[in-house]
Amino acid sequence: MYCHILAWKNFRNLKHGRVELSPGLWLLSGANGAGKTNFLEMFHYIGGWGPLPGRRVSDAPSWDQGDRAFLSARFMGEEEVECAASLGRTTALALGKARCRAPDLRGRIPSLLFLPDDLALVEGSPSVRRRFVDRMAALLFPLYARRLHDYGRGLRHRAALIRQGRSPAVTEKVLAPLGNWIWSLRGRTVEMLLKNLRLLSPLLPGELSVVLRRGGVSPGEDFQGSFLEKLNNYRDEERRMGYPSVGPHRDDISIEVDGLAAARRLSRGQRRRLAVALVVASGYAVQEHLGRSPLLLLDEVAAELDPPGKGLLFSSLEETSWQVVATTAEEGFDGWPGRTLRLSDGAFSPRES
Amino acid sequence: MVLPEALTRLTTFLQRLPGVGEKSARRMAFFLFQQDPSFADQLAEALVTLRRSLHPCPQCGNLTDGDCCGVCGDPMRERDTLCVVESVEDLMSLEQAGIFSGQYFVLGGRVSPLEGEEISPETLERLRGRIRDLRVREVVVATNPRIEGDLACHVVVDALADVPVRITRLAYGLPVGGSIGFADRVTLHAALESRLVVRSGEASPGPD
Repeated sequence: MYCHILAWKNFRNLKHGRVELSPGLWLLSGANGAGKTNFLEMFHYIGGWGPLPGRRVSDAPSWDQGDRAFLSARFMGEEEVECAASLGRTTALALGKARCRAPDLRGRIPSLLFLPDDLALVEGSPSVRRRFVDRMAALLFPLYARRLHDYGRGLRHRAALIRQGRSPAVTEKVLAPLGNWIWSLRGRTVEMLLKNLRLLSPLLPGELSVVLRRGGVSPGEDFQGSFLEKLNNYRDEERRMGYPSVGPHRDDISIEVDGLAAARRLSRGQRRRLAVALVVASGYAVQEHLGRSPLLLLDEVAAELDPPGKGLLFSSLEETSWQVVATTAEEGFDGWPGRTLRLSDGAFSPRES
Repeated sequence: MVLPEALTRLTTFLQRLPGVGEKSARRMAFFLFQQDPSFADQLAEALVTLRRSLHPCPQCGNLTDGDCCGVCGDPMRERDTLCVVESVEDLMSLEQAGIFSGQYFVLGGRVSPLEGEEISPETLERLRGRIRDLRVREVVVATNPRIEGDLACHVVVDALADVPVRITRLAYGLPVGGSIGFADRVTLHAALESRLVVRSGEASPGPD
């Protein structure tokens, strides 16, 4: 799928506007504060993902232009889809002329967002890798985001019971099946990721293995039985930590190259390339599973790459034939194989290359 | 502009109603003021009567203005099936649908430790007593399909651990009368997850 037309009214510092895009690679350049990330955020909303991490939907309308922002878009490609979003204190989404829920949009217009932090996928904290896999899983399995939310809420209920000095036993009966379900789908997602990653051998520095390490469970252990048992057995430890030492919230995705942890084995440049490969592989996995090409949103992801790394990223993106919207605070990139839009003070300059 | 105190006071009360914001509350207050004075008198009287005469049914927790509610007092209803709901609103939805002819039990809340909501041991003891008194054979747990409803369901199941009774829970999935083509992805996935076995796998003898 690719976005053909995007129109907005009263959205953050972009105010009003409309842009027509073709398939392929688009680079948005502009100084800090020009509105580049806001532009990406519009795709994020219209794709059913809500505000960018750390932002709030109530901040979407421009502060001086009323209390709602409106977005509308037409997507083409595998099918023609029109969608719209009205954002304010609450969010209303529409697909065609009917109101819809966010997961409906996510499946119809699959989009994958990558922020600068995501390039620390290899050496960053487990939470970065969990977020990466969760986003993929939410695209592949419609119920996943709902169940993950329920699981998080269940954990907070459990922590509240422990704080109040009461037995958390009842939460185990809800958390154990939810946790096992999440583990099972995370495992499938990682397998799909690895399968597609192996197709990108030029980007990979060696024989790669990507494995889901279930939080608090040793490899080979019966994880379904362990979850309930460990929730029960490690309550003192849980009291100290504030959360259970076992469960999907403690998962990590182990990435190894030639049998060694990638974070130790690879140079900084190689780690970045591997992160790029993970990004592209996740797109291929989504394309294979949903039967439609994803829209890739990349916020300043090339900033950390050296010139050969950038070249590799650009050629990998070009090969995908997906629509990619990338941002940069630089004037532009040498060798960018797509078109460039310039943004300053929330408005596109007429010069386009 | 400073509004007259009577108007501000009424608006403040109306704002406490569910789903009513400041603007809606003010519109309602103006509407009330513009009606015939008898309307306000009747409304005030209806509110006072509601609060004074209605109370929970001692047997099931439904609302009643008598000794027991219409459901508990109906001799034609089945006594061996009991439906456990979170609130009186849920009971009324089931009753309005006209699909359940057994007895009810209202928990009067859900289990949400984060918000400090729980089901009291007295309520659970009343539920056990009700099951014994009616000689109930099946308990249908009709809590909402969200995490707090799941917790409430397990609290009920635990409370009935030593009570010899069949326990079932409402299913969820595709809306009846709808079509798969119009169902959203999440509902379809949920329906697939909770699919029913039509036949377990053994071949049945074909027709002669």
